[in-house]
Amino acid sequence: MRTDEELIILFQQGSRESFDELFERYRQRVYAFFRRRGCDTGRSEELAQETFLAIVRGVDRYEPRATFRRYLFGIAFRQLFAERRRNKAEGTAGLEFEPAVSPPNNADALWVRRAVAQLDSDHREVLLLREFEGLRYDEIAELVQVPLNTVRSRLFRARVELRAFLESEATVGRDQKGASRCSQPMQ
Amino acid sequence: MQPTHAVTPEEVMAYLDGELSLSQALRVRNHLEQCVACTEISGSIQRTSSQLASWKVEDAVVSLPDATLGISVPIRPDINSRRAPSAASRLRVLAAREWIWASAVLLLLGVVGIAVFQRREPDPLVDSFAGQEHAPGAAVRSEGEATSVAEGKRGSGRIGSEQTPVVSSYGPRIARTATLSIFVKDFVGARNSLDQIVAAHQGYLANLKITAPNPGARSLDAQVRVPSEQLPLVLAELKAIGKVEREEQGGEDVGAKSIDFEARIKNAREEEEKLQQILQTRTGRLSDVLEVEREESRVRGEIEQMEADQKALETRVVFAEISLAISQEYHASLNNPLSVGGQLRNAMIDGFRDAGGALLSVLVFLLNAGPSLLILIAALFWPARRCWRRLAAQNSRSLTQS
Repeated sequence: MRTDEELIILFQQGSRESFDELFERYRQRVYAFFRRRGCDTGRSEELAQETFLAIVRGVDRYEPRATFRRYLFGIAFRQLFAERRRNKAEGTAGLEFEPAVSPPNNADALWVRRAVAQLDSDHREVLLLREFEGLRYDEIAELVQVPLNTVRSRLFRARVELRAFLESEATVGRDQKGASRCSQPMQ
Repeated sequence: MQPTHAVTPEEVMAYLDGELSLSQALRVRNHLEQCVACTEISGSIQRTSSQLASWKVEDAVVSLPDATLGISVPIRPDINSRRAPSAASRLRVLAAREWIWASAVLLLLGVVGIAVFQRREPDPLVDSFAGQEHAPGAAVRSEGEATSVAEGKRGSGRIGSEQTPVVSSYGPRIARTATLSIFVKDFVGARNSLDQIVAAHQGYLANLKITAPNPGARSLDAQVRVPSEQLPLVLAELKAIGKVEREEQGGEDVGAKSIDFEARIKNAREEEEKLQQILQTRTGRLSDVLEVEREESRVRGEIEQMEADQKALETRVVFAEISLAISQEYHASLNNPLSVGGQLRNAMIDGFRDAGGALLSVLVFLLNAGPSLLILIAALFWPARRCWRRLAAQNSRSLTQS
């Protein structure tokens, strides 16, 4: 099985099938990237499409010195920031936040989502990039443009705070099981 | 006794994430085996990660518009998009625009090409560049007036070609080379023209050598590097400097090599990661640890060497290399630059020099062979003298008897 970097190199040389395979590997993850950051389903699909389209257009700019994953999520990150700037410019009051659909009766997922929403935005971003996008510390540092040690400290604090939120949510949530509550939209 | 906390909680977290160097990872792992508090921190981080993994997102309905064929993906009708037009319709417009631009460019190229072709005489050497891709390894040679062109593979740059996507330029990764020999009358002018041509096309002289024998024709040998896409123009301008004596061109497809480098570097990196994991997850003797460290250093060295080779390969693709030779047409002079007196003086000096040289050669010979000759003479002198005396006595006896 070819690696992501091999596939993108082949795509640079004209192999459309290689890009199709990359797309199949990452479309769900890129979609989930936007969904976990507060975008609704429709907008997440559009942003994911635009991310892959940006890959196609700029394939000549890819250089093997970075992993494809880092390259892909770097583009997605820029798409997300552009989206947030547009929203701010338009004065749109927070994205309409829909809870990510999880298997039914999965209370843990609900507590996790709510706990993550309460984190500081900088800490949350580093946590999500590490836990779900699987980027290395140095890749995260390059993406969010902070020093490596800052990434490390933010990630640690995020995990500690999340742990604390989850433990408290587990106690409170059990008391209010089944109640629907509006969640804070993510920044 | 409570072990000293030489390890911070952040280091424990970095160890779990595989972000520590080998020596640091070993230190943390050894500490975790002794420290209950840090072990609890480790467990807490792992539980948090496990719980995070339960946060699933619904399956995506994302499909990619096929930009090469201009087909856009229908969006879900229930999407409550806040902006118009939607991404799918924007892609349709974008694809249509691309079709229009591409068609216009092709039409223009076709008109210009036909007009130019009808006006000028066909030049196989120039045509070998215009719109054609040379097959890997093919060479185009010309010697003086005789030219022969190796047919190359036509490039597949047409819109909608199944081989070549349209949204950006794809093609084989060709490292181009050329060899050119030119005769010029004005050597200095040719030298200046070379500098101007190279500068105008963002190239550089990798190597330059000029010889000027007296008497004799001046010559120049240079290695010129220019951006690959500029090669046809540069060659055309260089050939205009003088009379072409020899021309060769070549192209090497280094795409396979590049992919091979990628694969090898990737494999080496995976091997490096495995070596690090081995040391993180397994216990072993110090000698085993050192052995793995040595192996990791070796693999790291290989990775760096391959990355350097890959970089050099990329440079060969980006910059084409021209081996250029410019020779001045030599006109022998009937007049001797020296006067008669000068020639006589030179002859006299040469004569004395030769005589001195001959005398010196004799002296050198005598010094070299002299001792050996003396020994030989000494060894043969007494026997020779005895023989001589006997011969003389016999001669005198025979005279007396007669």
